[in-house]
Amino acid sequence: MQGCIHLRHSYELGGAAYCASMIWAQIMPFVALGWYEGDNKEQLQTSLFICFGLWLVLNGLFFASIESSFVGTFFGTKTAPQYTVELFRNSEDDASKFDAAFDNRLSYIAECEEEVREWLRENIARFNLEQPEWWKIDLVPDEFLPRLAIIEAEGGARRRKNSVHSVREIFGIGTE
Amino acid sequence: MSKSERAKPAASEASGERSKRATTHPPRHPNPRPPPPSFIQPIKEEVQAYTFEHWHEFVGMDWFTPGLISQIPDEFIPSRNLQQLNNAAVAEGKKEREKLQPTTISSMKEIVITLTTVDTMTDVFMIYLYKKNGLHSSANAMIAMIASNMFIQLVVVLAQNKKKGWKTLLKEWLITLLFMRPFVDAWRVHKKHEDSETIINPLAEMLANKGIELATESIPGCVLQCYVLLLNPSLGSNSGAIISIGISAFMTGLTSAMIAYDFDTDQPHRAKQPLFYGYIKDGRHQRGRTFLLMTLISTLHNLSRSLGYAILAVVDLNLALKFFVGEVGAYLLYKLLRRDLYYWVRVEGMLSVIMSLLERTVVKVIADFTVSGNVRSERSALY
Repeated sequence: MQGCIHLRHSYELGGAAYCASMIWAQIMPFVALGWYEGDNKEQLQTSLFICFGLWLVLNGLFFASIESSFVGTFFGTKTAPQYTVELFRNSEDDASKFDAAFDNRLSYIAECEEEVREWLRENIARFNLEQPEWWKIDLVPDEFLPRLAIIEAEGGARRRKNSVHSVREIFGIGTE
Repeated sequence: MSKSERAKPAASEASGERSKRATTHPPRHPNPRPPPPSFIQPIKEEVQAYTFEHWHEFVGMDWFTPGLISQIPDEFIPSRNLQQLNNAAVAEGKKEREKLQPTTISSMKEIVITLTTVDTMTDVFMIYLYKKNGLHSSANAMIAMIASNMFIQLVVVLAQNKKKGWKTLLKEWLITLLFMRPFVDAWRVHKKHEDSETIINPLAEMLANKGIELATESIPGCVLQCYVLLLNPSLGSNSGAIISIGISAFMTGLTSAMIAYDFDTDQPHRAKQPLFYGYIKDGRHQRGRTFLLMTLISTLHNLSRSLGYAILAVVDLNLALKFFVGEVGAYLLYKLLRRDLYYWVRVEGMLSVIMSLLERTVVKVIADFTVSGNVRSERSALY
C-alpha cells in the first residue's frame, strides 16, 4: 500500500493514519459506485476491480522487496512528539540529538526536556570549542542553556534567536 | 541473491591474488572507464594503497585524463593531490574538482521531474478538446487550476527573491509565466546553482514548485478529467482524453515515488533516522525494482482515487464535497485526540495553529492522491 510512502512519517500522517488512508482510498470508489446509476456502471466496476487487484498484487511484491524490519513503520502509531523523544534518546551522535531537540517544535521534547538540558550542560563547552557545523546556538532557547553560556558566550538575553514568528517575516513584508 | 551479491565472494577470493599484483607497476592502458565504486568495495583498501602509491606515476600519462580523474572518488586520491585538484578548481571559479557522479534514479531526479511537465501539456490539450466539444465550463475549470498553480508559484517566487531587486523578480516571474519554471529549476539543480540571497536552495525550490503543481493542477485535473469523461462518454472516442488521464496518473505516481525514494536512499537521512529510513534494499537492481513498484502502485492508487471522486461528483457534487470534508475532518480529529495536531515547524501562537491546520490538510489530500509535495529533507533551507 502506498501513497507517497514518505508521508507515513510520524511528522506527517503517521503510519496508522497513512495505512487507514490508503485502505480507505481503495474502498471509497466502490462505495461511490453504489450510488452511481450510469449505463457504464458495470464497466466502471470491472475497471475498479482490475485496479484494486493489480494494486494488491503490486503491494505484495513491494512488501516482499523491502527490508522486512521496516514493515512496522507502515502501520506504527507513534505521534510526532513520541517519535522525537525516541529519536533524541536513541541517537548516538550529537548532531542527530541536536536535530531532534531543536530543529522541531519545542513542545515535541516536553517529555525529555530535563534530559536535553542535561545533555547540553554536559556538552556545551565542547560544542562551543569545536563549533561543529550543526551547532546553531541561536536555535536553542534560553531556558535550555546553562546561565553562564547565555551571559558569557552569547550576549545574554539580547542574543540572536532563530525562529520564524510571523507571516510578515516569512514574506519579508514590513519592517525588519 | 542479486547479481552484485553473487559477485562478492568471487571478488573476495580474487582479492588476495590481486593484492599480490597490485604492487609496483601501474598498467600502461588501464580500462578508461573504471568500474562503479561499489564493485571495488571488497578490495577498497588495496585499491587505495595502489592509487596512493602510484598516483605520481599516473600523472602525465596520456590515458590519465581529467575525464578519468573525475570518475575517481575522493577517497582513492592521495590527500595532497586531492587538495591540489580542488585548489585548481577553486582558482577556476568552481566550488571543487569536477566529479562525475554515477547515474542513479536519484541523480536523474531533475530529468524525471522535468518529464512530469508532460502532464501540463496534456492539460492544455484537454482544454482545447473541451472547448472544441462545447464543454466550456470544464475547460474554464481546467484553466482555473493551471492559473491557481501559476499564482501560488508566483507567490513562492516573490518569497524566494525578496532580497533581490525588481529586475530579478520580473525575470523570475516571466520564467514562471512562460511555463519555463520546471526546466529552469531542473537546470539549476543540475548545475548545483548557489545563491546566498534566496531563501531555499534550488532542489527545495524545484520540489516545492512540483508539489504546488501537483496539488493545484495534477490531482484536481485528474479528477476533473475523469468526471468530464463520465458525464460525456463520447469524449472517450478520442483516445487523447483517456491517454491524458493515464499520463496525469502516471506522472503523479512517478513524482511521488521519486520523492519517497530520494528520502529513503539519502545517506544523511538513513544515518540520522535509521529506524525510519532504509526500507529500500541496497543494490542497483533491487532499488530499481522497488522504485518501479512504488511508481506503479502510486499510479494505480491515484487512478482509483480520482475515479472514486469523479463518480461521487457525477452522483452529486455536494456528496463529493461531504466526503472530502468528512475524510479531512476525521483525520484532523484523530490528530487532535492524539495531541498530534501541531506541525513540526517552530512557529508560535495563532500562526502555528493556522499553519498546522493547513499543512495537515494539504498532506492528507496529497497522501490520499499519492502525491508528495513534501520537502522536509530540505527544511533547513525551506523554513
